[in-house]
Amino acid sequence: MNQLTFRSKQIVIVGAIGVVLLGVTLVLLVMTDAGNGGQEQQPAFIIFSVIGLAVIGTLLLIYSRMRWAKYASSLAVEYYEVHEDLGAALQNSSLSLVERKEIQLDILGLLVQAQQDGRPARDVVGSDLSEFVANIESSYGYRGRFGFYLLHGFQYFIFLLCVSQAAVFGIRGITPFMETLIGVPQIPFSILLSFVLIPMMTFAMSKRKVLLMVLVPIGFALLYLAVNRALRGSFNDASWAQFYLDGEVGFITSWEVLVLWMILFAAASVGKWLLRRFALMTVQGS
Amino acid sequence: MAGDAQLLKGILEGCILALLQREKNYGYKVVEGLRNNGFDDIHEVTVYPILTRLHNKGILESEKRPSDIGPPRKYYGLTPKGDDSLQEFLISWGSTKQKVDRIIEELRT
Repeated sequence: MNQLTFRSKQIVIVGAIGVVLLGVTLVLLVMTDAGNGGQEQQPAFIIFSVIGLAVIGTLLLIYSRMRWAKYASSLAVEYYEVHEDLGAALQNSSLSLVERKEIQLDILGLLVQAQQDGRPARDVVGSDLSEFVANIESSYGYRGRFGFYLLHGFQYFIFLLCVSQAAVFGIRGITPFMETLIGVPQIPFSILLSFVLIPMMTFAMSKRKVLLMVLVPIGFALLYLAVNRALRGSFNDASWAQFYLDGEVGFITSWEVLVLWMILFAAASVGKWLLRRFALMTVQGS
Repeated sequence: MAGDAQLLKGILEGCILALLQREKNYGYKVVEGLRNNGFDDIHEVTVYPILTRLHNKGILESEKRPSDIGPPRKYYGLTPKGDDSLQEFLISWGSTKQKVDRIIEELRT
């Protein structure tokens, strides 16, 4: 397949942004070290952890694509694009990862056969992929989107605050991890990211709204910075504004708290499983 | 008309069960079977969600078999519940067909 599909371009762009962010992080870490005059050396394991995480992420991405590659590589662009678009449309559904992969593999098989018989890809998935996915979704029973939205958001929130604390720990270097505090603004920021920005981006990706994918995060970042700037400019003397802008709080303050967050994260996963199970029971009972 | 779609959906379900009772098969062949029997406008886009729903309802069971050209195929077959559903469909369809035939016959005479 010589041409890059939309999804491949998307991955290349996201990968490039990731590499730039990683590069900037490493430069900042090195500069912090230089600024400290070598007094407070960043532990080498932090730098290696960042690189290690990036490598693991890349390998997982390559593995997930290679898994289908054996079959998908035989597809012409028209069919391959449908295969990739279906993946993005399924991402925006309430189906579990296992269900999504199962469906994608089934449809891949149908696309391979359709191509061999000279039938168009749209015979397999129709002209509206979202409608096709909605039909498949309904065959698993009614799944109220709101419950999934809340549970997904809650999991992202926990994950982002963990990452925030790890990032602050990485930048400060010498602070013990459990005593690392994160800025108060990171909490509303993570809430907005988890419940607004990430769902919007997933939706934009599934609908191929390129402009939305670029403009939403930029707009979001600008709005966030503007609000913080306005607060600092207008309410700098107010104690609540000072607490919001300059205050710091602990998120993972001990091993017990870490275990508690992990339990809550797992509980949200169980909640999603139960929602899917109940929906399936309604289908089986009908 | 939405009613047409609902009616066709019910009939399709019955036809799919009938085809699969004859022989276990995978989605693509089910579509082919329907098309060979005159359902020219039926594509995978319609049949795949039906197969998934019937499978989730416990009416169909599936097993994976290797394919020469692509990923392993999911072969569907009827469960005992599926056999019952097919019998119900045949009775219901027979009765409906009889009534419709009678009305059309009266119209012609």
